[in-house]
Parts: sequence; structure tokens; C-alpha cells
Amino acid sequence: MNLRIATLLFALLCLFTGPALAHKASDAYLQLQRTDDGVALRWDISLRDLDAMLELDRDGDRQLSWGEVRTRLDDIRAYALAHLRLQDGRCVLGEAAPPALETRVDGSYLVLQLKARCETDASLAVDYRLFREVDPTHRGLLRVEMGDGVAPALRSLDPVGGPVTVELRASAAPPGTSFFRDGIHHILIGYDHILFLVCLLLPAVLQRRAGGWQPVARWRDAIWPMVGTVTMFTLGHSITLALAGLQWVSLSPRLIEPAIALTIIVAAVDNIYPLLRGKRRVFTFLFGLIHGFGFAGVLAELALPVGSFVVALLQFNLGVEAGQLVIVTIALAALLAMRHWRRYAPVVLQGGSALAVLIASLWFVERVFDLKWLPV
Amino acid sequence: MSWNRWRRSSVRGAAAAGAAVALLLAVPARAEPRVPAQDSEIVETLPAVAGWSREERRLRRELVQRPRDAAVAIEAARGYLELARTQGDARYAGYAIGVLQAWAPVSAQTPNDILVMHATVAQFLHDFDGAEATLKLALAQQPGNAQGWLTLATIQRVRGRYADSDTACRALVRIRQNLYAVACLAENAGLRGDHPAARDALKGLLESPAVQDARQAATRQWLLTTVAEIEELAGRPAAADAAYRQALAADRSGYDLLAYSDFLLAQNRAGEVPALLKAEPRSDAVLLRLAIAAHRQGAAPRRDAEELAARFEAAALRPGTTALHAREQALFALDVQGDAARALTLARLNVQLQREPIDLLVLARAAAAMKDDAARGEVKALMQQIGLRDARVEALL
Repeated sequence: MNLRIATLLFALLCLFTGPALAHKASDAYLQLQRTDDGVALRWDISLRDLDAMLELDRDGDRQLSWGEVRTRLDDIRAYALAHLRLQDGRCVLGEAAPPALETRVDGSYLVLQLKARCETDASLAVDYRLFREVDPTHRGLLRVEMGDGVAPALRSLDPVGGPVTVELRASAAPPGTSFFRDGIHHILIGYDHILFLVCLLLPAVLQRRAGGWQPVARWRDAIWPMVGTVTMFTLGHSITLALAGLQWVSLSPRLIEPAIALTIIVAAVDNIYPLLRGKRRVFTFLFGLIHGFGFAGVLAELALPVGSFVVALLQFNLGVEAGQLVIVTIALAALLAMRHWRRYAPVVLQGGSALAVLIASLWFVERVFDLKWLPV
Repeated sequence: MSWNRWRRSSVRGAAAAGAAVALLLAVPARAEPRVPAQDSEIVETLPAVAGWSREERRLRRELVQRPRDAAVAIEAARGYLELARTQGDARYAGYAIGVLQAWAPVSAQTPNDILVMHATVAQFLHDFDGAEATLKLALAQQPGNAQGWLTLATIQRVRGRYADSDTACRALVRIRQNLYAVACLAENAGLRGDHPAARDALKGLLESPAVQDARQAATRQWLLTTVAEIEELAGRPAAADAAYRQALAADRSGYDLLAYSDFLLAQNRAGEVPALLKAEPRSDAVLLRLAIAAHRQGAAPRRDAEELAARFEAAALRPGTTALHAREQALFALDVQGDAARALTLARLNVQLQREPIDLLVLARAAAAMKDDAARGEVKALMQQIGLRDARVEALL
């Protein structure tokens, strides 16, 4: 067959891709996530593409063994990392975990698990050049995790397209909204804090007179003293929450948790027998200090971002206050409605307080001896 | 949501564009990657084509030394395109573009052979606009480039522009490539419904001494396949079957086997398809025919269909590629998933890109399955606009 016919025939065969466009083209997959101190990246690269670039198949048998890949990992890493620049080189990627393998529909992929410590704001400059030497139709399919409930952002990175800017967080979810929510959530499920607040509220709709408890005449007479008390509690726990959150002061939960139970007992007993002798506000402030350490324990579990720690702390605290406001408003409204009931003092105030003493005592014993009796 | 659960639920449902968006949004974190315990574990099999591996490395090394050596670059590009074609793996067409990128972006100053090669790869990747523009650049400089004219004629035919295609075919006459010119014009005549003329012209070529040589088997196979396709357009399945068998006896190529598979499926002979395709690389097109055949035969295994669905999902992750796979996806929706509505959407999208008889046929079948008179009207209008006559499509309208 002469060359001209051969050439033409080749062209013909190529034209007859006919009823088929083949498999997908070369893609790599990148999953990017913002971390406390930079970014984390999982990068899946096809072994076929790596072989075309780096000749991994050393013995030329058209089979890649793990040994052939493993002994070239340094070259692979060096090649890949030289073809991805973040923040104009200010985010230097390093290995977070050893490379591994993933099977996808078009073959095996090497998974590089990387991280970088660097300052990132709401966006990241990504200069992606993988395989630009061998395949300009290659694409890096980037998926940026946006966090809770927000759809990840997707981007197709073109190795010959130049640097692009990638949003790290959707504007719909500014940083820390979730810490505000966490704060609300924590106070609402923190039954000990709620019980303490209720103990403070029970007598608020009454006034202690010589002849015993009398309901307040006007609702305003209950509100303003209550605002004062709650403010003292807030001041107290905000101080210790901040101190513990910033890790300037640290107290063991083994100490704090029983102490919280103790504050409830004291506040409840005071409703039955005047223990604090009119110094309720001072004690409320002091007790608030103890409860603040309790909130801080939760905060530690949430792993707040290092960069915006103070903002996150403030948001968590505001969440706690918002949740507290909801509880106080509902409870006070209910108590105000009941205050003229003849038996309010013996049933609600004294009976309720006695019940609170009982529950708090059980908590106290549970927490001191690390037992579990109550469902909460 | 787990990958599998999500996959099953999504494959059933959404329309083309919606599905693509959902796919993009829902790619879940996959299973933990694993580290093989043994160095001897085979983790990937590379396409094995006799001699190509060593050849590939030699060409690559030469290109590192002399990246603008046109002869070496064309040889490498041809090798990669051949690999893409035989393996059904589009990444190698990307590599072919890669070895030609020393001349990017192409212009009137680019060597003609590079331009033609570039266009050939572009049309393989279904970049028809790019391929046509590049070919016109090349042919303006070098009107004697037969491969250029033949490629141009084919692209214009695929896009349903038969008059333009005829013009390109006639250019082959001028440069004395009579065999290709006659076959080129005969194919267009057959598409227009002039079956006797097309048949006679192709049979004349098949009887000519030039193609009797054993080394011309591939040419005979190509001519016979064209005859078979024209018989299908004419609504003569017995003659088509005979021509396909003769073509396969002359030589076996991937295209030929797929075209015959489609014929067998249309003739309710799905049982013959698995044996026909069993030795072929499992490209999307091959898997599609196997999946349809399995579906038609009822209790057959669903593995091919699931694998194909997974491939379509993976392909859809890359933005802007829905149209490239719309033909196969429409056939899959219609003949495997039984989702005619989705098939109709995809078939409509597909005819924006390519207008071969198979493309009009899947559109017409989806319209008929939906009993959608408006869609039938669209098909009729498009057939008239193109000038295509196809007995199979006309039977559905």
C-alpha cells in the first residue's frame, strides 16, 4: 500500500468514529477544603496520565505494579506540586497522608493528600498546569467544600487557561453563623443551665414581705429585677467563657460540672429558705462565673478556627445569650400569668424549688462519682 | 448519601441538564483510598498495542529535543489518535493535541500537514467548528491535500450539509483521487435517497482492479459498509445484512462491528450482538450495544448497563460536555432505561451537533415513543432541511 493511500485510509478510519465518542477525556479530581490554618487538598490523578508524563512502566510490560508506582512517588509528587500554585506560591502544599489508590470508571488514580499552612481569606488564587505538556484537553475538576448545608463550589481547571480565583466560602454562609447556632443549641440542651435560670425566675414574680410571699402588682415590678439578675449571670459566664476560651484559665470539668449542680441547689434552697440574705445578685454573678467554664468546655469540642477565634467566641457567646433570652421570656411570661394563683408560693415556688434541689443533688452525686442515673 | 444509592436514584430521574447539575452537586466523598500491601500488585493496565509503547517513548524523546519537528509530531499524533480510536479512550486524542501544541494557536502560517492533523483530531473530539476552520486554512494553502478534502467532506456530511460535502468531494476529483471522490459523492447520493446511483457507483468501485489486491482489504471493507448503510436507508434489510457480512469478511474494524450491531438490534436479532462484540475494547459505544442487547434479551446481566451509567456520570462531571455524549446517552435512555422523555431531550440536543441517520433515527424513535406529534414534526422538518431520506425514520413519522 503506498503512503498516500495509507494516509487516506487512516483518515477514513478516524472519521468513522461514527456511532461512538469514546470514554471521557483525561480528568483529575481535586477536593479543596479550608482548614484552621490553611487549606487541605485531596488530588486524584490518573495513573495512565502519570505514565504518559513520567514513564512509570519501567519494565515496559504495559502493566503498572504498585512497586513501579511507589518507587516513583517522589517524582510524581515533585511533578504534581510543580504544576499547582496556590496564592501565587504563598500556600505551599505538603503531604498530609501517604499517597494511596482509588479506582474510578476509567482506571486507577493516585490519591495525593495534601495540606498547606497559609493565610487565606474568602478566596484562593489557583494556578493549575497539570499535564499541560502532554494534554491541553486535560481538566482538573475542582470541588470546594463550603461547610454545613452549603453546596460545594465546582470549577473546571484548564491547564493552559492561566490562574483563576476560587471562592472558599459562599457568601450565603458568612464564617461563624454556625457558632452562633452552636451557642443557642448549647443553652437549649444544657438542662442544668436552664434549671438554674428557672430557679432564679421562680421568685421573680413575687416579693418577700414580712408576712410571706406576695405577688407583684405590676408585671414591670417582676421584669426589671429579673433583667438585673440575668445581666449579672450573663456578665459572670461571659467573663469565664472568654478566659477559658482563650485558654488563659483552665479548670477541669470534674470540678466545674459538680459545682454547676451545686449552684442550682443553693439557688433553689434560697427560694425556700433565705440563704443568700438579699445578696442574690452578687451570688448570681459568682455562679455565672462557674457556668461560663461549663460553656467553654463545649466550645473546646467545637474546634474553633484559629484565625478568627475571637469572632467565633463572640458569636458562640451571643448564641448562648440569645438562647437564654428565649428561655427567660417564655418562663417569665408563664410565671407572671400564674402569680395570682393562691397556691403559687407553696406549689410552684417551694415545690418547684424542692424538685430542683432533688434533681441538682442527683446531678451533683452523678458528677462527683461519675455515675449515670438521670436521662439528661 | 452513598455513591451507589445516589447513582441509582439519579440515573432514573432527571432530565439532561438537570441531571448534569445534580451530578455536579452531588459527587459524594468516595470510599477511603487504599494503599496496596504488595509491590507486585498490578494497579493499572495500560493499552497494549504491538510496538507502540517503545515507539511512543522514542517519539516523545525526539519531541523533547525538537518540539517543532513536524514529521515526528504528526507521527506521534497519528499514533495517539489511532490508540484513542481502537481503545475508545478519548484521553489519547488529547495527547495527540498535546504533541501538536508547539504550533498552537494554528494560523495560516502553520505547516499544512499539522493543520490537517489538528483538524482530524478535532473532529474526533467532535469539535466540528474548529476542525472545519482549520481545514479551510490548510486547503486554501494546499488545495492538493486529499486527506484535508476528505475530512472536510465527512464533517459537512455529519453535520447534514450535503451540498457543501459534495463540493469537497468534487475537489478530490480535481486532484485525481477518483476512488475517494466517487465513494464520497455516492455516500451523499445515498443519503439523499438516490439509492440506485449510489449502489451502482460503489459496486463499480468494488469491482475495479485497484481494490482487488489483498492489501486493499480495509478499503473494500469501507466501501461495503457504505453499501450496507445505503441499503438500510433504502429499507432493504436483507441486502444490508449481506453487505455487512461481506464487509466483515473483508476486514473487521470497530466501526463496522458497531454499525452491524445497530442493524442487528433494529432487526430484533439482539442475541447475535454479544458474540460480535466480545473481543472489542469496552468503549462506551461497545458497552452501549452490549447493554441494549442484554436488555432486549431480558434476564441478561445488568453489569454493562451499570458500568455505562457510571461512565456517563463521570463524563458529566466535566462542565459543557453533555452534548458530546448526547447520542449515546439518548440511546441508553431509550433502549435501556426506558425513559423516552429523557431520550427525546438528549436526542434534540444531539442533532444540534451531528445529523447522521442514526441521530435522526433516535430522535424519531424517542418522538414516536412519547407519541409527541410536535417532535415528529420537528424530525420531519429537519429531514427536509437536510435532504435526508431514510426509510426507517419515515416509517416512524
